[in-house]
Parts: sequence; C-alpha cells; structure tokens
Amino acid sequence: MMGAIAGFGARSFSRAGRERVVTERPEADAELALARSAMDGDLAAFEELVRRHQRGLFGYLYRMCGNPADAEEMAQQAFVKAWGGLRGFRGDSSFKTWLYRIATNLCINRATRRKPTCELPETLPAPESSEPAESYARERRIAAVREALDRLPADQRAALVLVEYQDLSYRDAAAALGRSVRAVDSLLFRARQNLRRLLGPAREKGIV
Amino acid sequence: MKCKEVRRILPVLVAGELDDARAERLARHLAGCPDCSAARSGLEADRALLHELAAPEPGPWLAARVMAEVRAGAARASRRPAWVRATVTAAVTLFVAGGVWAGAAVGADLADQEAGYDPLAVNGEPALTEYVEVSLGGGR
Repeated sequence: MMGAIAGFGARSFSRAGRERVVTERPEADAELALARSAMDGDLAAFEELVRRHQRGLFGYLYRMCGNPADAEEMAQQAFVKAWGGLRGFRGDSSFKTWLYRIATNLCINRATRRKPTCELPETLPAPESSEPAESYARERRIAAVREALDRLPADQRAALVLVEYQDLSYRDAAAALGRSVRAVDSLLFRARQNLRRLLGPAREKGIV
Repeated sequence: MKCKEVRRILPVLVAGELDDARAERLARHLAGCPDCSAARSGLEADRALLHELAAPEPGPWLAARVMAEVRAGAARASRRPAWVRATVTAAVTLFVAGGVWAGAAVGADLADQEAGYDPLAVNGEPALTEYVEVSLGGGR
C-alpha cells in the first residue's frame, strides 16, 4: 500500500501539477495513516478525517445540488458510508479522492431536485436607495453563475466543480467520477463551452 | 499551431494541467493570435466568475452528527452475534469493494490512458505532437 502511495501523484505534467503533488503528498500520507487506523476501528482517527474534509466535501455537494440542507445531509451520508466501507479503501487513490467518489455517487444517484437558493437576476428587486450598487451587482452576478452552473448536465457540473473549486487534478477528478482522464478532459471542455453559452444572456444584459 | 487545436487545449492550460513544453508552444501562439488570446481571456474571466460563487460553511454540528451516527452504528454492530457481524462486514465490504473494483478497473484504464494521453488526441483530432511534427517539419 505504501508503494502505491509512493507512486501517488508521481506522474504530473505541468509545473502547477508538480507543485500540487509536492504539497499534497505529505498530506495524503498522513491521511492514509489515519484511514488505516480508522480501518482498525479507531473512531478518533476517523473523526479527524471528518474534520479535515467536512468543509471541502460540503462545499462540493453544495455546488452540486445548490441547497445547503441537502448538501449537509449528503455530506453526513457520505462520511457514514465511508466509515462503513473503509475495508474497501485500498489506498490506490488518496482518501480525499475516495471520499469524493462516494459523495459523487450519492449525489448523482439521489438526483436531487435542485432548489434555487436565489432568484434569477431578472427578478431581483430594484435596490433600495441605501443599498450599495456594487453589492447588488455582485449578487446578480452570483445568481447568474448559480443558474448557469445549475443548468449544466450533472457530469459536466461535477467535473467542473471538482477541478475548479475542489482543486483536484484531472487524474483525481477522474478517479472521483469513475471516468477516464480523457473523459474528464472532454467533460470539462464541454462544461466550459456550455457555461460560456449559458452566461451569454447575462453578459448581454451587463450582469456579468 | 492551428487555432482549432489551441482552442481545444486552452481549458487544459487554464487548469494548469498542460506540460511545460506544450504550454510554451501555446504561449507563443497566443502571443501572435489576438483571437485565441481573447478566447483565453474569456476562459480566465469565466473562471473568475465561477469563483465568486462561494459555498457557505457547513453547520457547526456536521462532524458531531456524523460521529454520533458512526458511534451508534458501531455500538449496534458490537451487540450483534459474531456470525451476523461477519456477514454484515462481508456484505458491506463486497458492496464498497464492488464500487472500488470498478474504480480500480477505471484506475487501470487511467494508468494506461495517462501513459499515452494527449489532450488533443480526443474525438479523432490529431495529437498535438503529431500536428507540431508535421507542421514544423519535425522540430519542437
């Protein structure tokens, strides 16, 4: 298992990718040790893993489903499933990637009906005279991005969120999605094209 | 480099996944191509927009609720007869391992694919290396 970890991230192509590997490897090794302890029933080790990943995992699920309550529920489910499935964690990927794989499956299987957390830019009320214009403009931009992200196909959205927000490499995103690196590249290319197209109307209105 | 190939590979560059040699060739193209340079700026602007969408913090009790559920499950499991515990453990292991096996199969594919993966060799398009070798007469 340590041999697998020694090879983890050894193959990277870009300077940014190599920098990512240099900073991630000690973390991955420490988390592997925690995961192995948790596998032996060490609840404190598992709790440490939960504390390390709860923010990132919640953020991922929130950007996937758009609803904080659903995101928190799914994050809890993902962690509990991870605890139950630790014997199946072999260390071929980082614990983080493995955890995100569980969360992605949960998210996609659940087919959460996304509840908009904010109104569409066109329906936002006109600002009160005291409301800073910049704050209002920013809210409209965020709403436009939220709407565009929401309208991406789930697999494109997942690839984009994993790479763009969770800072996973293509390789780790592929492992989390259960797809090939080539497929992730294709998903990201289409996601970015679609995002540009979906933001077109907001761009024309000067919102973004 | 043809602009079509550049546009295909720009997202890879923006994600920091492009190797240094190709990133350098791409930079040379961008320096001389206003349209592709504008496309790159557009991608970077979209990224900046995406990052305005911050996620709220998880509730303060998420970790506590997780551990409460995990502990409750562990307590229930310890009260089961040994043969039931073994069966449940085997079933859960098989379930997760099935997913991991599928992932490992993908992982094997990942290793194979990554060895020869070229971001431009998708959808039947020529690989960047092939294109560069042809268009530059074998030079890099």
